[in-house]
Amino acid sequence: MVESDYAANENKKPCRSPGEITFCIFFILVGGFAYYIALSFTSGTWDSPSIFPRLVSALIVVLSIVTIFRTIKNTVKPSFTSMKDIAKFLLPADVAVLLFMLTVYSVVLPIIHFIPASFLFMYIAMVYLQRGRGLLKSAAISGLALACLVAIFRYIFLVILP
Amino acid sequence: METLSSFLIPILNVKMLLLVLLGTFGGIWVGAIPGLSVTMAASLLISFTFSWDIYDAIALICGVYMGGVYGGGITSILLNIPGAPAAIATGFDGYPLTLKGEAPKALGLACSVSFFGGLLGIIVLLCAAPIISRVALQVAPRDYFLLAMMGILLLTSMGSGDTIKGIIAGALGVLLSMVGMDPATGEMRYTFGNVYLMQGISFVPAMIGLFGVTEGLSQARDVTVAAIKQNVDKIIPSLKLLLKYLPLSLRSALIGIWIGALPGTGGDIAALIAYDAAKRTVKKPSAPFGQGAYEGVIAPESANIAAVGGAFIPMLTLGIPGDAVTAIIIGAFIIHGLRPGPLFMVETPNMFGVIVSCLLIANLAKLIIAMCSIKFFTKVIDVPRAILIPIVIILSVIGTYAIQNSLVDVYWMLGFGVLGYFMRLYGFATAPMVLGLILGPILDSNYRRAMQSVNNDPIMFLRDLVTNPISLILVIFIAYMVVSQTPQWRRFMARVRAKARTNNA
Repeated sequence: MVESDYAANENKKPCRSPGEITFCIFFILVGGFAYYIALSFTSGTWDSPSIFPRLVSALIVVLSIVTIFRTIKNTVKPSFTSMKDIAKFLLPADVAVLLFMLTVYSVVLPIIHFIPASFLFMYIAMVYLQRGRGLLKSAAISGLALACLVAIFRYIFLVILP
Repeated sequence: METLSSFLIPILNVKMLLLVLLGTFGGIWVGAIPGLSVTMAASLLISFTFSWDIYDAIALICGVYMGGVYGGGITSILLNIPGAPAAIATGFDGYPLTLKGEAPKALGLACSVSFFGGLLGIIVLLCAAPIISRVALQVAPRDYFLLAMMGILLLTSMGSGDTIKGIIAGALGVLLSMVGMDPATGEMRYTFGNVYLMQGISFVPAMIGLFGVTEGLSQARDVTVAAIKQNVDKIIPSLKLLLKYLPLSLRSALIGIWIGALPGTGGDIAALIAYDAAKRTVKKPSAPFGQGAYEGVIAPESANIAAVGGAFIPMLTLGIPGDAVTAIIIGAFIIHGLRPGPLFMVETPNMFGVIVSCLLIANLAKLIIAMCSIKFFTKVIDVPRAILIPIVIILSVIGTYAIQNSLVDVYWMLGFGVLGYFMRLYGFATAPMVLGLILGPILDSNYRRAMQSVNNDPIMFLRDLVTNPISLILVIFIAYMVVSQTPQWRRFMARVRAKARTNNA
């Protein structure tokens, strides 16, 4: 679990994480939208397809509202509010780079196919996370790992790779 | 006498012995790799062993089955990435044990109790199969609905996180499980005319994303964290420790046997229910549940392996598969000219003895192979995060793609991974979401079938819940699960315990 690295304030209430209430509002919107769509499903009987979607989406909305009230009551605002600091908390540099690489990987995977795309992803990610060190070692490990995965999935389990 | 002599067939046949050992070894690895499943391996083996003798094919499949169920717990404990749904509950306390440097001990304990749980499952299969199958046939859709309700209620007590946030995550999982074509009426729910959504959202990509990719992204927040030194001195648990936890292991195994004997349910639900039962019944765990309690590893690992023996009960006695793997084994029988059904054990009495014997050998082989491999497996923890994270992500991609050869599954997996990262950041556990995805269809379809069986009369539905013995027992369990979470109950129990202490003094 990722811990917040903000100290408690004088009243001993912990600080909430930046964007915590926004995240709960996101769940309210998801639940509300799901309930609205569920209204269009066949209904009217106890075994209709809309029963559980409506029940569950209503539960999400209600509990998200409860969570917002609890969060406001039991925590205090974080000490910083600048967008830069919030972004740094949500997406530290390494995570942001990995997410960008995953996005590029998803796009190029069907184009250049699994083996080159995966090798490049692993190699570049390893080199980046090691801050530019271990170029040869990363290439060797990426190649070996990929070879093992291809051997297991393609030749033993007969999975046609993307 | 014939059945007795059939027990000796695999033991006296070197080829069959080797096949069981090979299957167990392969099964452990298959179970450990997320995205590879015992079901997938078993279905491949059916075509592989098409021209083999049926006994040889069964020997290999039994080995893979036994090894695979244990194997799923390895990555769950070491990396918090369950190799199979049945291993999700193992990670609740298994991974915290790894963070404390006790991964070898956790794996050794899991392996040992897995042996005892498997042994009990096989013994019950041997002695009580007909009785259990008769009871299993009485289970109606409303009982499956109640079992799924029990599973959902576990969300309120899962791990050590915020209860309400856990329920939100679980509810979101149930909601997402409704996406796609309604199996009862064919109506499209939440598909928005999109052909990819019509297939629904499979829980396996969600599980791999919410555990594998989420774990990778979460660890990327600080790649400089050094690997936690693991204590490899204590792998094999002491006899004292084993005897201390044996009652819990056997109780959990009994839960696993019953759940496994129900067609359509398996080790995943058994492990969860056993974990919850352990949480409620163990008064002084080695650590708080969710923070590295040994009991939190013992209960699910005993239950999920015992469910293997349970799954064979309806298959051998009635020709009804207990789970996906036994369904595949029935396919193997048909391919080899056998006729599974209520007369199967009468027409082919040898097969029962052969299967029981293969399972026993596989269970023992699993114990030996796994114990010898623990030091090797724990080396994974020593790999620096900068190397491990990219490999885990690519493994997640290929494991997801292998399910249905679909890139859409891969994109779902990555999407769930990113969602899981933010959920974890804000204190929402990801396991309840996966469980919601698994239990949602069971809950929805069985509730509606139960309602249809009483002509949509809610009064009749409620009446059947209390007049049918199996349903009544399950309702009482559920009521207890709900009431025992309330502050009033805890105060009441504290008063009862205080009074008992006063009387004793």
